[in-house]
Amino acid sequence: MVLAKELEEVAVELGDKVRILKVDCDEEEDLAAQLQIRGLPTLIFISPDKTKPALRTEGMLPAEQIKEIIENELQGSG
Amino acid sequence: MNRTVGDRNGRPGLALENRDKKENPFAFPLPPSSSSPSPARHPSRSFKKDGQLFLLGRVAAGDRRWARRPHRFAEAPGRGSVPLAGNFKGEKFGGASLLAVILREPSKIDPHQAANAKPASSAWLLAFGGGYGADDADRRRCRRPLSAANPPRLPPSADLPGRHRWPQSPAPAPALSLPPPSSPPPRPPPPPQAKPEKVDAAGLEVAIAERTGPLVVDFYATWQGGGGGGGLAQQHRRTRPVSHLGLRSLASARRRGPRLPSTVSGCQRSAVAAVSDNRGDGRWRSAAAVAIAGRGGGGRGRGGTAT
Repeated sequence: MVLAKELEEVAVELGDKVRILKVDCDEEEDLAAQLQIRGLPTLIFISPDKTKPALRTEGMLPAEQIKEIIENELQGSG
Repeated sequence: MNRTVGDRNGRPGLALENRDKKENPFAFPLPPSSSSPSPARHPSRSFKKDGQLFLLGRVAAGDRRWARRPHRFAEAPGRGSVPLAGNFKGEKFGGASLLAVILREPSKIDPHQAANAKPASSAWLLAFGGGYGADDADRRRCRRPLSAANPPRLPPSADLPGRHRWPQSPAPAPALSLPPPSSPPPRPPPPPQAKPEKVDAAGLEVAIAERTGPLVVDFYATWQGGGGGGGLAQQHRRTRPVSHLGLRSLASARRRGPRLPSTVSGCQRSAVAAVSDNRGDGRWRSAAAVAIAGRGGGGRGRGGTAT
């Protein structure tokens, strides 16, 4: 719930620069198992650069920190 | 001319002409106006527009109907009505008081000020602005209906031949030239409601394959676990082990729980799900115990769900 608000804030601020998705682990158990989601909430940052590994964080992250990670991803990809 | 004043609902009110002649000797005629109000028009509008202060009548002493309907005209059948609004009390500011105040010294009433005032404040102005509040005698008088035995107190100098015209101001105030009401500026477009999109496995796969920019995937669950308390936010801030997925490592399971199956990989998912660390204190409990603790501990979530 709290992280969702932070993500909404990030989505509003960054706009089209990033696409934010959410997956309900209770509904998508197989997907969560496949991606080895060990704790909730988990954020996975996927870079547009397919050679970069995805980043994974667990737990609450403030919006600023999420934006920092995304900006780093943008800089790295761009 | 037999002009009537209606309330704002359009119901016709009293005929002013008849009232002036017969029943209310203290009523004042409406001034000649090029734009006479329509019968259904609220008198307070013409009251403000013409810049004059009219006493259309008076409220019957002790009549509280206008106090209950403060924004309407208080109608006192047979005695006229007076535009009053606000939280005035009928006992304090009945028609007799107001009439007496007005007739005592009408020159104290500034028509310009009254013209810009609302009926409520005008009535207030009459009662207090002129320095004539209702005294105790007025209040006592207002409690009794006006009659021949209880006439309104009038100043001896007041010339009341049945009609009275308020003194005109020496120089009529220039009409305020307000700019025409312009259309409000267009509202700025609402900010884009960029909310995270909820996707399933297939949607996520497509999004990953077709991504052109950074992608952030939030794995969440509405299930918060039982017990522990601390509020929903605090529970959410604490990561929740996804025990029902059977993903805990064996080392972690052995370190944290005393009654785990020997091998996690070979056990059924339900067996793994039978224990949970939903209280966050490192002590693993069975799902039933968690459920009981959850109910007793005041947590918002339900107990562990063993699937």
